[in-house]
Amino acid sequence: MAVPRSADFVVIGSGIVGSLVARKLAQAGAEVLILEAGPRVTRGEIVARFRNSPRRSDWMSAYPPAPWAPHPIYKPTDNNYLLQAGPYAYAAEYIRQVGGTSWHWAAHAWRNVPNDFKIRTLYGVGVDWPIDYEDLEPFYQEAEEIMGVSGAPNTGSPRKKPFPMDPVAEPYAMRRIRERLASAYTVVTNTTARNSRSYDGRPACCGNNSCQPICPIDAQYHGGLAAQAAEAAGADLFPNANVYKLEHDERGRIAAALYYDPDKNSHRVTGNTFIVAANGIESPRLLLLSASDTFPRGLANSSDMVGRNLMDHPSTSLTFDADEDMWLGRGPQSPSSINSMRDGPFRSEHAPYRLDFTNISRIDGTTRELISQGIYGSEFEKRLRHSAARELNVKNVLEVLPDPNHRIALGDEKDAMGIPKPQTHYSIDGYTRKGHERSKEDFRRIAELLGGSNLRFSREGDFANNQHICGTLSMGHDPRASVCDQWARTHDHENLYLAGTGVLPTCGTCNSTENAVAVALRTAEHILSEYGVRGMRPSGRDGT
Amino acid sequence: MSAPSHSHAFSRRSFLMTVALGYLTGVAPRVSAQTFANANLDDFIQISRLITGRGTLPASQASRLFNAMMQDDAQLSSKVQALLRLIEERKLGIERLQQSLDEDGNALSEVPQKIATAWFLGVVGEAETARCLEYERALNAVIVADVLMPPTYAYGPYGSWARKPT
Repeated sequence: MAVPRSADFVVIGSGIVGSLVARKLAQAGAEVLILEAGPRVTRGEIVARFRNSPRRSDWMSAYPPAPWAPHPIYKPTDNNYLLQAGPYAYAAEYIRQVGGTSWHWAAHAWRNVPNDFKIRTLYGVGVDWPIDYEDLEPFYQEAEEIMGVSGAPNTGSPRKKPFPMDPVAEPYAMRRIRERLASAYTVVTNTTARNSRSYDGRPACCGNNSCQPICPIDAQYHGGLAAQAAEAAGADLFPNANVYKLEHDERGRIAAALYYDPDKNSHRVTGNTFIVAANGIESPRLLLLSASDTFPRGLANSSDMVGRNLMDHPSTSLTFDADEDMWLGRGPQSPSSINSMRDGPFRSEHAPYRLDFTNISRIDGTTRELISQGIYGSEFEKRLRHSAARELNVKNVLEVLPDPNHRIALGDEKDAMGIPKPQTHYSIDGYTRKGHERSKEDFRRIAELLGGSNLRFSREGDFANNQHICGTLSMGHDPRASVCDQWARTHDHENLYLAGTGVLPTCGTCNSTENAVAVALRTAEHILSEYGVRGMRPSGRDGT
Repeated sequence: MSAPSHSHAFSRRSFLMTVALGYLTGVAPRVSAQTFANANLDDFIQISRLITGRGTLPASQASRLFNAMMQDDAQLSSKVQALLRLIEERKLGIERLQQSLDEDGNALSEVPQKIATAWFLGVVGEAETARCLEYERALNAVIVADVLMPPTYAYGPYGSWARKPT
């Protein structure tokens, strides 16, 4: 099927956010075309790739990039796609294929806590959002009902309706952690898009412990399912269409998307309304690539904020041996956490954080470690079983504040298609580092309560990345300090909307996906109310 | 240590005896490439038993791993033989093997780690040439199979992971 040359709505990117916007528009009867840079890949193919991977702890090994739509790969060698300007390396991972990066996630589907929306007002740090919790609450619920979300009721995010299902069964190890920490901490079941019962044609979790890189039975929601749902609603989705430029007309409206097919033939698609949903790095890259004589800094960039305020969730951690057998690896990978440090007056001084307990099997990592130490024979078996049974890990999920110096820019090098690569400028500031220091007190206390020995803190100065790319397309009221308005419409282009985690102006302490989906569903509702299903404002309302 | 379960009854020792007997009698035996291969595989299994601490190793798995490693290193057999000789000469226990090789800067020091990687992880080769030959039957899965499933395999019906592992 040839790609249509025109559509009322053109969505660029088929990840969970772009696909769910497309789905909502298509369900309303709109004509929607989704252009996806990467290929279609099936769940079965990904499961096979994982099982056959020589690097099973490298979850990206199940997602090799297509030559015509590269994404960052670091092992076994860095493919040098995401250029690093420093001073601190931002080794982001994301996936360019139909369904995008949430093929590969822990399905954490958190809401912000209400105060996350106004940290400038309350704590004098960061920025306030142009909307508040109440504005987003119905769209959180909508997202949760689409994705099949469950969780504990006491995580600081009030709700008007119940979760669509009960929390997922607690793994034995998490129960023991909860019971042993009860005197000092409330350990709760995480809020996740993982089925605790059959839901929307998908089965309940079977505890396969491979949520990352792939749930083998679709018990957890992901972008591949969102893309399927968009198509089922009537959207046309075309893979292998790498959009490299947006064109505008003389009025500054977006007129067309130009894309390369895998043979680098260029194609042009026109539309009434365009929605860029290509992720927190690729979306700002596309806007910057689309610079013209009229918009020399790129599209939507009169504020010079496109690509800036890059945020993620850095993590440090403690690994230790408990004094009883826990056997991590049975059940879902990331089931429980402590939420008591997500908000409070301390936010004026240091980063808030969640504390996450892993339930990822220790087998692959311990095996590699023992072999590297030259441990063989019966001693290998003894130590492997010990680590498998006793080893625990707790990490923080730290907030990062927006800083215009942290950004995505265009690099000097070009990718295989001859398109400038993205380049990151990033560092870890004092606010986040102080949060890390504070969390070490919790790490020690947790280890103590679990009879911990052999304590191994992550190396000082090392912050693991969580791939929650935020801020690079920030929404805000002030066109001089933000890229888009509260509806995620760009300040500069009347028919250009943005969708994805990049729109979020702060990152809080929760995984960014549900926030991005909720904001995008609100965007879709706004588009339909303002523009109708044709994606065109009624005459006289378009500012002309 | 119990006898290996593999089907290769033709040991290195019997191979050498056959060759020696042939020379003593002046009648050169008809030694096929397969015979050499079997002898080399026996050496590989012998060192593998030491490294894995397992008295029995599946023959088909051994053959697959050995052949894959030979593709990467045609000298593997001679290295394995040299390693076996070294272990015997120095009376090296497996617990000191790697340390001893590393301290000596011995050229054989990479051999035990490669064999361990093949058996415990099911992986042969390095970096871009690494490939997975075993997953469910890799020994790191077998060692904990009474409690843990390899990731992507189910624990049973919903919630079965909530029970205390026994």
